[in-house]
Amino acid sequence: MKTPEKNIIEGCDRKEDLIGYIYEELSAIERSSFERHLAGCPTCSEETRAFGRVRDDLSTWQVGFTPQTEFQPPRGKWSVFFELVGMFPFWARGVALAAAAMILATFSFGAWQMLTGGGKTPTTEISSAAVEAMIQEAVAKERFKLMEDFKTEMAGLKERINAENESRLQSVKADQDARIKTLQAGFQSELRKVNRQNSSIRSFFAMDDSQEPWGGTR
Amino acid sequence: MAAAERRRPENDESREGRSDSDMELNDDQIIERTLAGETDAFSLLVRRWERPIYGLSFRMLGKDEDARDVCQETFLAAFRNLRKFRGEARFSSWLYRIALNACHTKLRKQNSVQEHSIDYEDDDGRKYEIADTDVEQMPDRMQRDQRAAMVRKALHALPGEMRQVIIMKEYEELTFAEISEILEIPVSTVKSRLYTGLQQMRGRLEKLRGAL
Repeated sequence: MKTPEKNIIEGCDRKEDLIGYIYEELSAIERSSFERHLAGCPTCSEETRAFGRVRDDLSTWQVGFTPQTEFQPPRGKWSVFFELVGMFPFWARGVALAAAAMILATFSFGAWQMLTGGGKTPTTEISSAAVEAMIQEAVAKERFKLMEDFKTEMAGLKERINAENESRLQSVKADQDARIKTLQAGFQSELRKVNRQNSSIRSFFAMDDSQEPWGGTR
Repeated sequence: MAAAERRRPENDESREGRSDSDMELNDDQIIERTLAGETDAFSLLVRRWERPIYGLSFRMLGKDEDARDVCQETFLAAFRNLRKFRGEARFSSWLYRIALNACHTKLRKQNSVQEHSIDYEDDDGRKYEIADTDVEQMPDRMQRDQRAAMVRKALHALPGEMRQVIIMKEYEELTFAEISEILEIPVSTVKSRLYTGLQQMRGRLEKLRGAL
């Protein structure tokens, strides 16, 4: 079976030369070479004649007119706009201009009102960076406030601890003073007792040797 | 003479409102002027190439309306993409390529190639039928129309790749090298497709003649 791309003349593989020959695109050397081949190749001769008839048939289908393509290069938006405006009469353009001026003035006034606070609070678009900055600022403020509260609380705690310590210290001191006083009283009592004993001893040793301790005479 | 030069339309209508110097400009010079901002210069290219592009489209699609659409689309696409045209190929080759792509798109939309009726409408919108009479007895004009109708039917029954090569060679008179450049295939493939296409045309035309 022949395929479209591999179709070859039976017994002859000079189909390209044949095509070049019938369309007169062979060089002089190629042409004379193929003509010599044609003289001895009935297949190629027959193909050449048959293709000549096909070409003759093909030439009967002619397109005998020019389409007159209406081509307008695409124009810019402003060009189209100005042409559109030019289609209206002068008075209509004046009215349109006045209306446009009024609309512009109204919008300008509204914008001025909003900018100066005379109107509603203008809604402005906030960029994500601005939102981020605002969040960071709020966090910093909150953090500062917390730190201040913490410091205050710590100072109060310190005062309470100091007061408690002072109180305990006073208590311990009073306790110690009381103990010391008790001890001092004890010591003084003991001291008086010792003094009395000493004076007794001293008075004993101060007696005459002839005197008996029990008061008799020797 | 180059094939592109041979194919330039010379109708008087296309020259209306244009000076001779405008018409003498080559395609590259007109492109330069268009790209420089003189967009009206592009209409010179339209006038110069509309007939071949229309002819190609009409023979590829078989309908005047479709061919006109493709013609319009081709020049609009060329204008919009003119800056992408780098001059590596000829402008005409580039234009033919755009037109062929538009034809193929249209054919795909029409759900591939349809079998066309042997009856056909001519360029003026008149309908012709292939009469069941002896071809030898018909007047010349009618006989020619009958042959054209058969050619049209046989051509439209061919696979697209062969049909386009035959159209470009037979009707647009492009060289093998030009067709090779437009379709971006080797010259040997162009010749091979042309050979096979002509063989198939031969078979189909013989069948159609036998059916009469």
